[in-house]
This record gives sequence, structure tokens and C-alpha cells, in this order.
Amino acid sequence: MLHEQAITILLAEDNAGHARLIEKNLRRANLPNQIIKFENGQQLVDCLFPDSGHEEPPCPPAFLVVLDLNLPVLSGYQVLEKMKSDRRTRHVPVVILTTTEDPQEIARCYKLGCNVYITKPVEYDQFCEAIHRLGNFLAIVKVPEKDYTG
Amino acid sequence: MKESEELKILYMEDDPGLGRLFQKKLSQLGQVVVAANGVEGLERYQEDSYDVLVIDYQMPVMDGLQVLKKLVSNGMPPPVIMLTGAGNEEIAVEAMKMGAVDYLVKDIDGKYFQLLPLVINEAVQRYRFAEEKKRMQKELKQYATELERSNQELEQFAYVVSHDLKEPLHTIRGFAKFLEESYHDQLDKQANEFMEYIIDGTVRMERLINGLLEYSRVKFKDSEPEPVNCAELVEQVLRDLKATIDAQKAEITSDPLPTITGNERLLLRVFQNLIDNALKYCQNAPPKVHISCEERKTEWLFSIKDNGIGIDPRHGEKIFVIFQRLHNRNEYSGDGLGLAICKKIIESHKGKIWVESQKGQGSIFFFTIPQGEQNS
Repeated sequence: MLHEQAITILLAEDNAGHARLIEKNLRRANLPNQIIKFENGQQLVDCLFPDSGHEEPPCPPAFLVVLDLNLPVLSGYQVLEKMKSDRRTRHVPVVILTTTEDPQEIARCYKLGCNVYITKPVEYDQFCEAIHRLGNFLAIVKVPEKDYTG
Repeated sequence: MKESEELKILYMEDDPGLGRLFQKKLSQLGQVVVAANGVEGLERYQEDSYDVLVIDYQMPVMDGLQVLKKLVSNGMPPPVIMLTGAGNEEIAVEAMKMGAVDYLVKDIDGKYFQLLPLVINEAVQRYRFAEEKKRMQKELKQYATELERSNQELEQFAYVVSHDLKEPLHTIRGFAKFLEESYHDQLDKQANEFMEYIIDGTVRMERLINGLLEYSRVKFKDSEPEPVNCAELVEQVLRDLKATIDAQKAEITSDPLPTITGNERLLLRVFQNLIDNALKYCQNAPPKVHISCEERKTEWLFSIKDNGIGIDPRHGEKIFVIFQRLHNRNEYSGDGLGLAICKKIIESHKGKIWVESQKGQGSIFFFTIPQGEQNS
């Protein structure tokens, strides 16, 4: 009945070092959730839509996506568009975590249906602070369960 | 026009006697082709290119105005001089309206005949001058467009580069920091010293990237001009710098400052950078800074005067160039971006910025902001 939902975080970030850095900083914010990393947009899409025949880790029952925009193969925009236009994934919260502060890009992402848009500050300390806050935020986010997605 | 250059003249005249006379008279100017009527004239005109057209108004089949109309409708012809009979000034006016450059009245005593070479020469010269001017204007416009485009590209380039440098830099800085924190005791003294250099380097790089991003983003023309109260801007800067001002026992004074038109955020940056510099590049004595403004005919002239170390006049221009520094980092901190950003902001407001200074005797930074509408 009432059970604590274990939300998995799917992190799509092409730079492995940077992905690890984000993960480490999320951990420092005491975020206990499982984090699965993807190096490009296609890998993430293959995981989300297993029927495509690719061998990717199976999609966890409850999850949200943290998405960089500059991804190889399939860009963040393409992933976002695909997710938000598919019945199976449009309910999944998507957090865009990227470098660009261009208002047009931000508007475009929200139009495509992203739920949160966060930019990475230039200064490392501010970047850490931003990831820390993101970690605190992600720790309390609820997502719909598969049965209730309609 | 060169004296020796031969002109090619097309003369439309139905009187063969006059035609021959003209040919003779104008042979000193160059080659004259005579057409016996408008239709033939237009044919000749199609076949060859001419420097000047002389058209008699009174011709059978097509009169001079009809010929001119036809010429103009096929694109702007070379200069046309219309010859009209005496008392036919309305025709002349009409011809000029349609694009003829000049006219001569065929008087009975033939004075116009004497004038013709002069008029032709002048018409050709004027025409060539106008053509040259048009060509140069076009070229200038092309250069301006080209320059604008390459400027935009450069800005875009700086933005993208500085942007993409962020992530790898975070990675270096982040893991260097993790190493420092978690492995400090396992590393020897030298390794820890090296680690510090890595972190110092990334911190500086961050500042440079931030500055570069800010520099490439200075674009006033995209924003709406707004009234900017400069007195309030300075107050805000002084509030922000209060700790430094108190620590240095600095004395900052200001004349009454006007409300001007511009972008508040950008102009705040100018005051910030200039006042900050005045405090930073000080001598041993407490800094004294005075801000004033003078209203000139079409612009405001601001000045920020300090009693600091001054600038050698031969470096007067250099200091506004991006990443230029005159001092070692351990003498005075700075990235060589503050004044470059000021210059870009002031220029985006269509103003000028410069410095008057002597080494060791303080500096006065001046900048101008045009009054009223400027966002064009």
C-alpha cells in the first residue's frame, strides 16, 4: 500500500567526468537515489523504449530524467521531444541541466514540455551549490507510478 | 573625367543639316552618332553604349519626351540633354522631371550651339561623379554589412567557446578539489603544491570565461533604451563597494548626476568597473575619487578622477583592449576585462571612452553618452 517510492535518476551527460562530478555532488547533498548514467541521447531513448530491440538496462519503475542539451547521436532536445510526445513517457519529469542561458533555448525546452530548466553556473562553487540544491530538490520529488500514468 | 578621353555621343535630330553641323562641332569631344528620329535613336542606343544622349524634342513619329520616357522605362540611361524650341520651357521642365540632366533652348542665333560642348561635358562629369558616389556607397554598405556579420560571428564564437569551456573546467576543478580534500594526507608536499596550482589555474580560468561571456553579451542595441538615473547608479556602486571603501579609507565624491537614456544594467557595470579601478590602482595614500558630469550640446560628458598610480599616456589606448594588463598579477589583481567591457558598453551606447593621465599623478576617465534617442 503505502511504500516509499524509490525514484531512480536517469542522468544523460556526454562527458563521463562531468557526469561523475554531478553524481558526486548530488551524493554530497545526501541524495540516496540510484543514478543511472547515459553518454548520449540514443542510449537513454533505448532504455526508455525497450521495444526498439537495443540492449539497455531495463527502465526502472519510477524515475525522472536529468538531461543535458548538448548530447551526441540524439540531442537533448530530440530526447525531450520524443519523451513528451509519447504516451508512455510524457508524465516523466524532465530536468534540463545545461550550460546555455539563452532565453530562446529555455523557452524552447519549456514549450517541448520540460518540467525544470537549470543552468550550470560558470563558477565551480556556484555550480556545486546549484547541484546541491538540485539534489535536495530531487530527494523530495514524487513521480507518478506506472499504473497511474494512463 | 580625363581631358583626353573620347566621349561617345548619341544625337537624335531629324534635321540632317543640324546633325552634320553637330558632328563637326562636337568632334573635339569624341565620336558623335546621329539618329534621324526617335525610333532610330532608340535602336542605336540598344546597339551600343553611349556616354551622353542629346535629344531634340521636335521629331516626327516620337517626340523627345516619348523617347526619354521609353529610355527611362528600360532602366536609367546615361545623362540625357533635351533640346527644345524657344518658348517651350514646359517641355524642358517635363524632361528634367523625367530624368534629363539638362536642357538647352534652340535659340535662333545659335548661341546654344556654342554652349553645347560645355553642357555635355558637365553632364557627363556630373553623371560619372554620381555613379562613382553610388558605387562607393554600395561598397561602403557592403563593407559595413560584412563587418557587422564578422563581428556577430566573433561574438557568437566567444560566447560558444567560453560556454563550452565551462564543463571541462568544472571537471578539472571538481576532481582536483576532491583529490585535495580526500587524498591530502596521502600526497607529499610537492604534489599538494601542484594541486594548488591546478586549482588556482582553474579559478582564474573561470574568471576569464565569465568575463568573456559578459564581454560577448554586451549588446545594447537589442534592448529598449530606458531612463537611467546615474546618481542612483553611483549610490548603488558605493553600497556594493562599501567594504573596500571603508578598508581603504577612500573618499568618494560626486557632482549632481543626470538621468540619461540607455541600458541601466550595462551603465551600472561601467560605473562599477571605473570606480573599482580607481580604488584598486591607488598609491599609498587613501584613494580620492571624484565623479562629475557636464552637459554638452548633444551629449553628456562623465568623468571619474582619481589620485592613483596613473597611466603612462602611451598606454592610453591599450588599457581598453581585452585581456591587456599593464601590471603583474601580484601587484594589482585584474583580468584585463573591466575596461574592455566599459568600452564595449559605452560604444554600444554610441559614446566614447578615453583616459587622461600621467604616470604617478592620477587618472581621469572620461566617457560620453549621447542625449536623447540613440538606439538606432
